[in-house]
Amino acid sequence: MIGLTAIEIEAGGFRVGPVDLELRDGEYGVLLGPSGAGKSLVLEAVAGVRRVVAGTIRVDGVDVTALTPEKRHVGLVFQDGLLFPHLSVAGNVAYGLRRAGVAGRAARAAEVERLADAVGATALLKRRPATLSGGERQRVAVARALAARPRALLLDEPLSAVDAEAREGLQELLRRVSREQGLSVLHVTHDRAEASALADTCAVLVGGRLLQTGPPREILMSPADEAVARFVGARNVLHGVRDASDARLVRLPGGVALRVARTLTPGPADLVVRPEDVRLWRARPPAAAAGRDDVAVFPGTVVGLSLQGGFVLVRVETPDALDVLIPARAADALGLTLGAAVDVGVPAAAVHVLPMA
Amino acid sequence: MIRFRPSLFWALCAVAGALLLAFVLLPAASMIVGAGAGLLGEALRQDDVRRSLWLTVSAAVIATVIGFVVGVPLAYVLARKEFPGKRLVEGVIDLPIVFPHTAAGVALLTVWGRDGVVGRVLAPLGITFTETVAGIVLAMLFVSLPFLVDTAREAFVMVDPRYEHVARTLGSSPGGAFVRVTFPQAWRGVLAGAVLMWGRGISEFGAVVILAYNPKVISVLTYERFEGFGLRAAQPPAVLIVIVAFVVFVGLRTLLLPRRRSRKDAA
Repeated sequence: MIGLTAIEIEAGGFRVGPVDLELRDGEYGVLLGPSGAGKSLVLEAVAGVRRVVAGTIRVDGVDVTALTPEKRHVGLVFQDGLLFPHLSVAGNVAYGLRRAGVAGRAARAAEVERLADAVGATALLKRRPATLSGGERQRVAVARALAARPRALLLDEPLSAVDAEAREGLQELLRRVSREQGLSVLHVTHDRAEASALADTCAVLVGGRLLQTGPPREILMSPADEAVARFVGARNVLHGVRDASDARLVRLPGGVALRVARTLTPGPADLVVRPEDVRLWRARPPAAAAGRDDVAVFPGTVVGLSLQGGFVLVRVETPDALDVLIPARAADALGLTLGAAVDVGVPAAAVHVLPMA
Repeated sequence: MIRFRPSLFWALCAVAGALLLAFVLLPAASMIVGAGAGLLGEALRQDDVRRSLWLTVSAAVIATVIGFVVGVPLAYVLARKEFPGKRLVEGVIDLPIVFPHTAAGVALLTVWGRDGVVGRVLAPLGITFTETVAGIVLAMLFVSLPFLVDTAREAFVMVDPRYEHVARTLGSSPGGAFVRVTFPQAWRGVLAGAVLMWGRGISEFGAVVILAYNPKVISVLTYERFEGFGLRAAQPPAVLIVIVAFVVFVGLRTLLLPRRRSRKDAA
């Protein structure tokens, strides 16, 4: 279990916090945020290599705020594995075994074998770190951290230096380790997809401030504010005003009116629409296809097209700019080109209303 | 903007490098070749030259060992910690480099001489630094310590501190992390600093001659012979120390310091 209560960190004039976060045994937490948000500082504070200026840190129910790293019982894995280059893989894994109370050379060798097997690194034991791939290094780094019998695992961008193929295997390994050993994991990343794939609980840190904590789906679908919305890729953050007579209608500056799923109080309204929730037609759809009143349909012009994996991000000027994400095949079928006239539909259920500050 | 063709550019670099090498090697080579094998044999047969060579080498080794014991911890602190006055400390450590060495000898004398601040206290205990081996070691230590501290500090800076963070979470104390993780990665740089320090020590003249003219280290012996008997008499000790320094320097660097990896190798 990891418990952070109002921790604050200061580094070179940059202040992080207050950060509150509770992770149960076996819970996988992801601290998500852009570069420079202060994520690694939080991780270093939990590991005990950086002091907090306020707040308390608990590991396995014990207040470790004032303890040195070696007394905190946390495992630490960095982006590039940081295997000790002067030791073999076996030497790296064995490093923390004495502290873990594994006495005797034979017992330590057996434990190294067991840990290597658990992370799929048995064949690597005699190799030097410099000869390993990024994914192999990370597997060994996880085994090394587990050797010291930690009560929590801290991972600093552990998948960033790993190719896509190895990343899937490592994600599966990390989830399995957390689940089988009942370890709380605090994983720091800037990668939204990684966070969605791994996290039970996700905390979004932007500019040193913890903006939202919750299950990743909740953060994706219901961001707490504009900064979170933009960071989790909502793209369409729209500022409008509630219609004078219809409490479920928001008018945008360009004239487009969007339906929302709940009634709003009069005044300004900030809306978030994920690009994959927006529908696109080359000709105005029949009312049935549009879903009648629940989908606001309005015309626009394609002003941008960019391929993103198997999808195409289409920028449509309505004149309020909207980003729409559709499968590449669908874009081909629609024959989308720059300047093409399209109709755009935004379902009321896809419109998230941001809480007003 | 002047644009060089790559081949011309590298050719110019090679010419510049060759000129520099010649500038460094020519005096030493000329002296050794001019002296010939006969002179070298003669030098080795002379008792005072042999004694002086042993004294020079051993005093420099002792100075280097002391420098290692006190300098490496300081280098590590300078590499890892930020504290008020750190730049001042670094400047103070480098001070002997910019001191004229005879001035360094005079300064040392005011502290460690019989009437000096520390010398006065130690003299009744039989510990003196004028005209003694201890004085020679002291002078060598003073002028050469910056070479070890600066090189070792850079070697420690090159080791990512996050290795130590990992080691700490694996149960190591700060000292344990240093011994088991940091030093094994930095030792080649530290050794390079120690070799530099030793080399600077054996070549020291100015500070040594002020603090301890006798017993004579090889630089003092060479100077005395040159002044008293001319170039021919000064050559044997000079040739000997140049050969010893060359063999130790090149030998240690070749055997212990691995070839630096090129970018291509690293990729």
